[in-house]
Amino acid sequence: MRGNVGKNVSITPRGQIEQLQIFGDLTCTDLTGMSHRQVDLVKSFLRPSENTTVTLNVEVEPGNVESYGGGQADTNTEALQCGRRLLSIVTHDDGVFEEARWVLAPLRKPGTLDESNNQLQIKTTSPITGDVSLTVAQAKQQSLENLPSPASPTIPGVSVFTLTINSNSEDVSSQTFITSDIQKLRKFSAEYRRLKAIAAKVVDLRTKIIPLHERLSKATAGLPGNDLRDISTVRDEWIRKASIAKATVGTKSLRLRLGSFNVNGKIPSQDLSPWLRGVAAKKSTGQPWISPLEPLSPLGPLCDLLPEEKDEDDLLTKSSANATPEMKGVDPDIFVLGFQELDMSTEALLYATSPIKEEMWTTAIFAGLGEKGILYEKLVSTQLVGMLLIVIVKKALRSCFNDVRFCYAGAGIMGFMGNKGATAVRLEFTPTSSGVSELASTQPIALTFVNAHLAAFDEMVERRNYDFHDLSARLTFPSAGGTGYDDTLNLYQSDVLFWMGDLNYRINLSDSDIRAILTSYPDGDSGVQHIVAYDQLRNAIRSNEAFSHFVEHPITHFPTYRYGAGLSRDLLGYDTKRKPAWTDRIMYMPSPDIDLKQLGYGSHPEITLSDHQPISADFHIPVAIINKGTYEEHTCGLHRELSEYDQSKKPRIKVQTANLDFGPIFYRRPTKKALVLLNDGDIPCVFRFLSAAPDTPVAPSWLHIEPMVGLLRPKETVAVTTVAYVDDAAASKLNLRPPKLECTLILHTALGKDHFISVSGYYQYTCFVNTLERLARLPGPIRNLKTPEDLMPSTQALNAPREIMRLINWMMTNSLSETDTFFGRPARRKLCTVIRECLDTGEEFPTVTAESDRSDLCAAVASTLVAFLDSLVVPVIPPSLHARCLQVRDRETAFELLDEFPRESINVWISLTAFLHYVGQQGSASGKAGSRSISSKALHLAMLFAPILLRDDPSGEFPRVSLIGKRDFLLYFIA
Amino acid sequence: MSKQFQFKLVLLGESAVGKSSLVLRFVKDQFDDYRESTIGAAFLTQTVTLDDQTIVKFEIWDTAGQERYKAPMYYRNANCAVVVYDITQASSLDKARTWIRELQRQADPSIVIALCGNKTDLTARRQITQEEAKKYADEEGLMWFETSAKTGEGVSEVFTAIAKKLPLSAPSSRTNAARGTAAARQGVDLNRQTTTQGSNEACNC
Repeated sequence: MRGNVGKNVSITPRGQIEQLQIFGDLTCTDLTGMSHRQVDLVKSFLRPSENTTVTLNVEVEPGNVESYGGGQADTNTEALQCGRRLLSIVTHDDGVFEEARWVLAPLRKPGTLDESNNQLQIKTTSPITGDVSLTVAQAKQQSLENLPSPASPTIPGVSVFTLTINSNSEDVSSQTFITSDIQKLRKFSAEYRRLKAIAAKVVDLRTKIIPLHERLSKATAGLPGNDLRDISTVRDEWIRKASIAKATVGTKSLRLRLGSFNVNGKIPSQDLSPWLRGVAAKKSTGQPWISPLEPLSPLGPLCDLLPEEKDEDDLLTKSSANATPEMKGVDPDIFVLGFQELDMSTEALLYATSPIKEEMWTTAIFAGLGEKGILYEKLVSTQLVGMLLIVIVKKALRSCFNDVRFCYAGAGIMGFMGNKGATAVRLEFTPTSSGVSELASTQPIALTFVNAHLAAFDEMVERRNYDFHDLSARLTFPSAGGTGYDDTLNLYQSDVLFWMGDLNYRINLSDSDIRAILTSYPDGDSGVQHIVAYDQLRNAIRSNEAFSHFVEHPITHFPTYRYGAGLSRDLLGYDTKRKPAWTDRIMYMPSPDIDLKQLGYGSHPEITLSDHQPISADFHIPVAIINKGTYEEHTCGLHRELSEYDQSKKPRIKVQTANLDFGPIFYRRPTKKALVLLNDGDIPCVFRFLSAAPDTPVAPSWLHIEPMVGLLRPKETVAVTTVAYVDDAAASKLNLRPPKLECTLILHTALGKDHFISVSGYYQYTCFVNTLERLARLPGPIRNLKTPEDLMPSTQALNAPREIMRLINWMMTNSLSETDTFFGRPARRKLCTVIRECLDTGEEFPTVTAESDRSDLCAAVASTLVAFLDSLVVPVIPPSLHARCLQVRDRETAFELLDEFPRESINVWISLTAFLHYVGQQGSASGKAGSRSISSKALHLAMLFAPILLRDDPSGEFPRVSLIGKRDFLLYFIA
Repeated sequence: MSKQFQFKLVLLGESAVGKSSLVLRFVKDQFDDYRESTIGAAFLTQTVTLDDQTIVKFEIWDTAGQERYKAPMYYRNANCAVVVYDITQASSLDKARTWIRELQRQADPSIVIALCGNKTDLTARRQITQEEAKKYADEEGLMWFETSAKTGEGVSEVFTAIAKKLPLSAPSSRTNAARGTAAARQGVDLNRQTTTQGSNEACNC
C-alpha cells in the first residue's frame, strides 16, 4: 500500500523545500539494520519511483529545535517530543537520471510508532547539491548534558555524534542532529558524499547533445512507454532552463584564439605575430567567381529555415562567419596554442623532456604579441614529448580562471609512446560582473582543449579514427584534490570541447588531381571547395567513424601540408613527394546551451619555418552570468510547484487546432502553421508526439514539428510550430505520388489521452528532382499533371526536357553581350524561386528593364540551371558511363561516346556544352586572343559543371573517378 | 487469494455509434447525452470479478471513429476488441465488417472479438435486425451482443462474457512482452506483478 502523498505531507513554508536533480548511476543501498516498519513508514510518503537509500534515527540538538522549523516548542516536553526525527536520503530513479534529496520526518510520539502512522510528517526536504555540506563530529559535552539521555531510547550514552547540514543557500539554515548509531551514520554520510560528488560533476556533452525527445522512453500509439520517467525528464529539463533564464543577470563575452602549429622540430626563427594577431588567410579574393549552389543545409533544425522565410531575398552566398565586426580590434581574452613536433630528438621520446624548447617558444609567443604582450600571462602548459599545449590569458581575467587541470596520453609507438598522442587542458571560467556587486556567486563554464598529433600517412585513416576514440577515453583529468571524493573528469564533461592539432587526415583524391585543381584555380575558393569534399576527416565525421558531433568551420584556406624548403617543390610550394592535405585542424563540440560563434579559420602562409603552415581560429562565447542563489531559489520553487503528485487529478490538454491544412505545398518553400495547445486541467502536463507504429517516424519527411516535447502548467498555452518543407529527398518521392498529402499526428499526454491532429496539404509538382527521361515525357508543364502517371508514351517523348531548353534558350537570346553576368554574380534567392516556379507552371520568365535588375535576372537564371542539373535524380551522364568518359583521350572519341548516352541525355549534353563553349569563348576573346590554350573561363565552367553532370554514385556501385578526369572530358566539348 | 489478470481491450467502430458512451457506462456507470466526438484515444481501466473470484482487469483503449484520422494501430497487442455498430445506422455495420476484416488480418491471431450493436433504446428506428448481425457474427466466429449505453442494458454483460472467454490459464508463452509494458503481455497475473504501469483507475477523458 502506498500512502496518498497529497494528503499527508505537510509542505513547509515556501523556501524550505527545494529539490535538485542529481545525475549519475546510483544503486540502491540495502536497508539492513533498519526496522522494516520505519522503512515502510518513510516509503509511504514517497512516489512509486522513489526509494530511500539510508534512513537514520536522529535527535535534534537541544537549542536548535526552533531554528529548523520543527514547529513551536513552548514547553520542554514538546521540545523533547519534537526532538526525535527520521532522516532519510531519497533517490528518484527513473532509469536514466536520478534525483536525490534528504527528507526529515519528526516522530511525535516516541514509542508509539506503530499505532500512529499518521503522526509522521515530512518536515523538510532538501536537495543534495554541491552547495550543501555535511559535517560529522563527536558531540560536545554540553550538548550531551542538555540531552535527556535516560529518557531517550536512541541514545544509550556511549558514543554520540553530531551531524550538521549546512547550506550556502540563504533559505535553508544549518541544522544539527545527534545520533549514536555510528554505523548508520557512516553509511549516511558516505551516501551523501557520493551523491554530492555526482551532483557536482558536469554532465557529459555526449548526453547533453541528445535532443530531449530522444531521451524519453520508447513509445508508440497504444503502447505507452514509461510516462512517469518521461515526466520527470521533461520537468527537470524545463526547470533547469526556466531557472537559468530567471537567474541570468548578464553576459560576459569571452574571446578565444586557438592556434595549432606543427613546427617540425624547428626553432622559432620567425616572427609569430601573423599567427597570433593576424587575420587568417582566405584564398578567395572578393566575390566567388561562381555562385555556389544551395548554401543551406538541406534542412537542419527548423531555425535554419525560418530566416529564409523572413528574408527571402538574401544573396545566395555562404553565410560568412569570417570577419565579423565583433572581433575587429578586440584582443582575445585567452590564447590556446597547440604545438606538435616541438622536439624530434630520439632522447625526447625516451626521457623526460627538457623545458628549453618550451621556454623558447613561450618567449617567441610573447614577442609575437608585441606591445600587447604585457597584458597577458601564461596560465598553464602541458607537454608530452613534441606535443605542447600552452594557455595564455589576459592578466586582468586571471582570477576568473580556476580549477585548471591538465593531462596527456601517448598513442605512438607500441600504442603508448609519446611520439603521437595528445595533451589536454581543462579550465573553468567564472564570469564576474562589475555592475552586479551583490552577486554571491556565479556559475562557471568549463572549457576543455585537446592538442593532438595522430597517426601519419594517407592509408592510416582507420588508425587515426582509432587514436581519436582511444585518446577520448584515456585522456582524463585527475581529481583536483581536497574534495575528499574522486572527481576525475573526462574530456566531455565540459561546456565546450575544442580539439586541435596535426590530426594527419589526408585527401581521398589522387596527388595529381589535388595539385591540378589547386593550381588551376589559385584565385578563387572553388578549387578548395571541390577538394574539401574528399577530405578524410570530413568523411569520418559524416560517417560517424570519428569526431562525431564535432563542428569544423568551412575550410577556405589551402592545404597546410607539406611545404618544402629546399625539397623539390611544385608551383604552389608544396613538396612533390607528399600529397598536399589539411593535416592541421581546429574543431569544437559545444553544449546546446552555449551560443558559441566561430569568427575565423585559416592558415598563415607568412610563417614558413616549418613544413606545415600554422592555423588559427577565433571564437566568441557569450558566457551567461548566472546568479547561483537566484538559480537555486527558482529551481526549488519550480520543483515544488511542478512535482506535486495527486493521483486524483488527471492531466488534460486541449488541442485548439484539430486540423492543420497547409494548402499548396511547394518544393523548398517552407509553410508554417501553429498548433495551439492549452492545459485546461489542474495539474502540470507533459506532452509528446508519438509515432503510429514502432520504427516509423512521428511525421512524414515533409513535415517538421518543434518542439516535439513540452510541459504546460495549468492554463498555459503553447504554439507548436509545424512546418511543411519539401527538400530533395522528400521531393524525389512526392513527385511520383498523387499530390494530395495527408497524415495524422498523435499527441500523447503523459498519463492521459492521445489526441489526433489531421494534417493535409496539396503538393505542387516541380520539375526539379526528376529524371530527364520522365521530364521528356511530360505533356506540358509539370504543374498541370493531375496524377503522376499522366505521361506521354516513351515513343512520343521530347528530344530533351523543355525546362532545360527554356533556360538555355533564354540565356542565349537575352544576354549575348554580357555573358559575365551569368556565372559571375551571386544570385538572389527570391528571383531563383520565381524562375523555378515559371519552369514548373510554364509561365513566362519575368521581364526587367533596369540594367541592374537585368544582371540579377541573368544570375538567377544561370543559378537555377545549375541547381536544376544538380537536383536531377540521375545525373546527365549516368555513373555507369563515367569510367568510359575518362578513358577518352581526344575530342573525336569524346563525341563518339555520345552515342552511348541515354537518349534524353544526348540532346541536353549537346545544347548545354554548346552554350558553355559559347560562354567560355566570350570570356577569352578580349584576353589572350588567338591563344590556343584553354581559357580560364572555360576551366572554371568545366570545374563547376563536371561534378554535376558526372555526379558520383552515392551507393558506390560504380567507383568514383577522378575529378580532373571529369573536367577534362567536359573540356573536350566546351574548350 | 483470488487470481488477477490484466488484458488490453480496444474499442473500434464508426464515428458516433457510442464507443465512448459504452466505456463511460462500463467504467463509471454514467451516461452523457451530449458527448463530444473523440479526437484521439483515451486510456481507461476497469475490473470485472468473475464467479470464481477471478479478477480481470481491462486496460481499455477508446479510439476515434472518424474516417479522416488514419487511425493508428491501437489494436496492436490487444487481447480483445469490441467492434461497435449502431443498430439504427445500416452503414455502421459495414464499417464494423471492415474493422473486423482488418483485425483478422493484422491483429494478434488469438484476439477475442466481440461485435456489439448499440442503441437498443432506439429500437423504433432499428435498421439492422438481430438475425442479420447474429448470422454475420456466427459466420466469422465472433461473440455478439446488443447494448444500450443510455439505459445500461447489456453493457456489463459484454465485458463479463469477454472476461470469461479470455484464456485465464497460464500466461501465453508468446514473447510479445518485449516492450516491457504490462499492456503488451497476455493475461498478466497481477499477483506476481508488483508494479504495473498506468494504474489510473478512473476515466481520463
